[in-house]
Amino acid sequence: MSSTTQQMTLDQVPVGKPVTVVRVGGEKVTRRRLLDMGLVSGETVIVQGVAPLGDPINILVKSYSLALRKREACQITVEVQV
Amino acid sequence: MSTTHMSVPTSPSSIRYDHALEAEITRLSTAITQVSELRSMYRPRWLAIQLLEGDEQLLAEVQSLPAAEAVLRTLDASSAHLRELFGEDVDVLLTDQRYSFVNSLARDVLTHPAERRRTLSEKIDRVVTNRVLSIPIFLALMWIVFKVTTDVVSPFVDWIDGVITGPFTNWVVALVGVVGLSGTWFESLLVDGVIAGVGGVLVFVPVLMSLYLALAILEDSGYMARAAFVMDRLMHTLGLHGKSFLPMIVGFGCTVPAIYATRTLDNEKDRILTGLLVPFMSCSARLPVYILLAAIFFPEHAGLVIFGLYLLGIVTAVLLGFLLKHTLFKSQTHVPFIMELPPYRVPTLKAIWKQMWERTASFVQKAWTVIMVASVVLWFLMAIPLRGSGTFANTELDNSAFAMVSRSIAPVFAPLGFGNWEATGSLVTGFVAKEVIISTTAQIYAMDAAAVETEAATFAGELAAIATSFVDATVETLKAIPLIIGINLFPEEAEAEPSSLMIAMRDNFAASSGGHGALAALAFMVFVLLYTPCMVATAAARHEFGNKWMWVSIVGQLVLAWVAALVVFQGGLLLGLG
Amino acid sequence: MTQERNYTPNTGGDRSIHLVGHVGRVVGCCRDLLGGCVRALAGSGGHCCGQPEGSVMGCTGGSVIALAGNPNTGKSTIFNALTGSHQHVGNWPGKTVEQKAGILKHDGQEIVVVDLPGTYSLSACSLEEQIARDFIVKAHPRVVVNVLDSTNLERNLYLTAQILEIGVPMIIVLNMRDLAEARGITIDIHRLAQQLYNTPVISVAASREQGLAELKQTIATFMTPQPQVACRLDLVA
Ligand SMILES: Nc1nc2c(ncn2[C@@H]2O[C@H](COP(=O)(O)OP(=O)(O)O)[C@@H](O)[C@H]2O)c(=O)[nH]1
Ligand SMILES: [Mg+2]
Repeated sequence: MSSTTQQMTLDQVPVGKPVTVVRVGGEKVTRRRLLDMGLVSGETVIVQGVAPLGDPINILVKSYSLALRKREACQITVEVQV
Repeated sequence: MSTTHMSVPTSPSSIRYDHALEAEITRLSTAITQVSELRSMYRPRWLAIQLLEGDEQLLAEVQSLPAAEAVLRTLDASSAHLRELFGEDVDVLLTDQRYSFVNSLARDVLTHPAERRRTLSEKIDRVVTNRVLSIPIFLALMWIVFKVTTDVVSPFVDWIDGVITGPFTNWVVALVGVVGLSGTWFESLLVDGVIAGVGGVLVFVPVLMSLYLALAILEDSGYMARAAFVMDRLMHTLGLHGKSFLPMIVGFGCTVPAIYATRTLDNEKDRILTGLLVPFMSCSARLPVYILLAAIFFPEHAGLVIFGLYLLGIVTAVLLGFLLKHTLFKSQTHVPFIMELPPYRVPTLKAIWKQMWERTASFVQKAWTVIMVASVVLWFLMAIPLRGSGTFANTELDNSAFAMVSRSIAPVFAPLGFGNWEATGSLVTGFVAKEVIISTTAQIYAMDAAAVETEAATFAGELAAIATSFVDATVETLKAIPLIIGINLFPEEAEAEPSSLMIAMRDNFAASSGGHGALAALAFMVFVLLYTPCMVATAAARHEFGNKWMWVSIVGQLVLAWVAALVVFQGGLLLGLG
Repeated sequence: MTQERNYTPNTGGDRSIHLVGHVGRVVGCCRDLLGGCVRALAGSGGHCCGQPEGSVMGCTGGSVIALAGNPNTGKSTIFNALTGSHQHVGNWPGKTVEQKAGILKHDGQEIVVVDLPGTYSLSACSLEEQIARDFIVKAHPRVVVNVLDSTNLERNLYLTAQILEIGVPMIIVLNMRDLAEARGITIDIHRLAQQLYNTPVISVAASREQGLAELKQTIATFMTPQPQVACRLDLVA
C-alpha cells in the first residue's frame, strides 16, 4: 500500500473513520481497563457517535459498542490512513 | 445440540506467552513454589503472572510473608528485565499477548458472514443517542418513570391503606374482642402502633414494585447505559455519574424508591453519594405541608414559595454534591468512565417479574423492623400520661410523654422561630413519615378529623369490599395513565380547606416567633424540605449503604436543615422581612 | 511435602471428602456460604483456604460451582434455569454488590450455584472483578461455568483465557446461540474445545431453554467424587 498514515489520539478521530490502535497510555487503572476491554495495539476502532453534550464518545471495537469519555480517549494513540 | 467429547476433566492448561515472558514466568513461579504458604493457596504460574502484571492486592499479600522475600527479589528483577527488553510495562505485554491468543482462537473457530451488516442495536443507537433526539427521548422516559411511580400507583397505595385501616383493622379489633381485651390499651397498641407500622411499610409496596418494573425494563432493554451516555457530561460536571439522574428524578416522587434506584450505579462511591443527595429532591409527601403553610402565610404567592422550595432542594443537592465530591468522596485515583453499550434486547417477562418481586420482598423484610419499632415507640410516647387526669392509652396529647419530649426538644428550634412543642411534635412524627405531619398537627390542635363512622360490617361483606376496591384501584390506575403525558381526563373536585386549623396554626407560629409568623413558617418549610424524609427512607438507606451511611445521612440532614432554617429566619429578621 | 498441601486444580475433591456424603450438611453449608465462607473470603483478602480443614472452606469446595462471564451474557438467565426457586439473594458481605446463590438439584445431588458479578476481566481493578476473582481463586468451586455471548467471542474469550490461567476446572457455555445463528455466525465448538485444552464446550440458548439439560449433565460429571488415588497414595508414601 502506498498510502501514508498519520497518528492522533482517539478523541480527535472523526465519526465513521476506521483507525488502528497503536498505543494505550494513561494511569494504570485506566490503561488496564482499556486494555481489558480489547483496545490493544493493532485493533481496529470506529467512532460511532458523540453524546449530545459533546462528551462521552461511542466507539465500535471488537464488534461491540463502548462508551468512553474524551479524557480516556485521549490516552489512546491511533493511526489513520490518509 | 452438540457437544465435545466429555472425558474425565483434565487439569486445564493455560495459554503460552512468548519466550522471554515465559522464561520470567517460570523463574518467578519456581520462586513461588519454594514458599509453602503461597504454594498451598495459588497455582504458582497464575500468581507469577498476576505479580508480573502488577496486581497490588496479591503483591501486598506476598509482601506480608517473610518467607517470600526471594519471590519479591525475583519479581523486581524479572519486571525490570522485561521492561528493558520490550520497552513496555509488563501488563501491556501480557494483555496484548492474551488478546492475540484470543484473536487467533476466534479466527480459528469462528465463521462470520462475508459482509458485516449493521446490527439492529447500532441502528437504534443512531436515533436514541442522536445529538438532537437523545435528550428529548431521555427526558420523556424519565417523565414516564416519575409518573408511574407516583400518580399511576397511587390508587393501589390508597387501596392498601384502605384495606389496612379498614377491614384489616376491624378484624383485629374483632379478634381482640373475642379474647375480651376490647377497648383496652392493648387494642390501641395493636391498632395505632403495630398495624399503623405494618401499613407504613406495605403502602410502599406498590411504589417499589412500579419502580422495579421500570428499572428492570430500562436496564434489561439496554437503555440505561444509553441514558448514562447521554447525561454523563452534565452529571459529571456536578460530580456525579450519568446514571445518577434517574434516582434524582424518582426522588421527587418518593425518596425510598429513589434510594433503591441508586443500584443502577456501578461505582460504590457514586452510589453512596447519589444516595446521600437524593433526599433533597423534595418528595411528594412533603408537598401537602408546603401547601398548607403557604396557603396560611403566603396566600398571594403560594405557588412561588413552593416552587422556591423545590429549587432550594435541587440547589442544595448540587452544591453538596460538588462539595462532597471534592472532600469526602475525593478519590485518589481517577475513576475512568469506560462503559459497554450492550445490545438492545426485548426484556423477558419472567426476568422482569422476578426482579420486581425479589427486590420488593427484600425491602419488606429489611424495613419492617425499623418502622415497627418507630411506630410502637411513638405510640407509647403518645399513650403515657405525664400530667393531667388521663390514664395510660387514654390521655390528652397535650399531657402525654410525647408532648413532654417535644417540649424538651422545642428550645432547639427557638432560634428558627418555631420553638413550641406543637411544631416540634409535628416534626418528630414527620421523622416517621412526612404524610403524618398534617394529621399530627390536626391532632395536636385537637381538631379531630371527621369523626369516623363505624358501620356494622360482615366478614364476607368486607372481603367483597376489598376485592371491589382493588378493582376500583385498577380502574383508577388505568385512568391515571393518560396523566403521564399531562392529559387529565378526570378532573377532581377541589378539597375544602380546614380553616379553623389554619387560624390556630397562624396564631401559633406568630406566638413562637415574636410576631414574625410568616418568616417562621418559611423556616419551618425549609426545615421540612431538608431534614430526614422519613423512617422508611432511613431504613432503605441502611439496607443499601449500611449503618454508617444511614447515620451520616440522618445527622447531616438534621444539621443542614437546622442551619438553613436559621439562616432563613435570622437572615429574614436582619433584613427586616416578615 | 505432601500432595495435599500443594496446589492442585481439583482441591475441592480432597478437602470435601469428609463432607460430600452428607447432602444435608452440604446444603446447610450452602446457606452459610452466604454468611461464613464468602464473608471471610470477600473480606480483606482473608486467607480462607489456608485455614485447616473443618473450617467453612471445607464445604465450599464440596459441591459449589460458579457462573462467571461478561455482563449481559445470560448468566442470570442460566442461573435461574438451573436453580429454579431455590435461591438466596443478598449482598456480598460488606459490599453493595448483589450476591446470588441457589441450589441445583440433579439426580438427587444438591449443587450450590453462585452467580458471580459480570466482569470483562479478572484484573481486580473494580469491586466486581475482585469479588469474582477471589471467589474463583479462594473458594475452590468444583467447576467454573464460563458463560459467553456467541455473538461476541472476540471479547468474551479474554475472560476465558484468564480463568484458564487460574487453573480451575471450567465449562464453556456459548449462550445466545439463536442470535448467532440469526446473524449467520458459526462456531466450531469441537475445535474450540480442543484449542482450550479439552475444556467442555456447550452451545445453548438460555432464554429459550435450549441446551440446558446438556449443561446440567456436564456439570454433574464434575460432581462425581474425584479419584482420590493420587492424593491418598501420596499421603501413604
Ligand atoms: N436471544 C437470547 N437472549 C438471551 C439468551 N440468554 C439470555 N438472553 C437475554 O439476555 C439478557 C441478559 O441476560 P442476563 O441473564 O440478565 O445476563 P447477565 O448479565 O449475564 O446475568 C436478558 O434480556 C436475557 O433475556 C439467549 O440465549 N438468547
Ligand atoms: Mg446478572
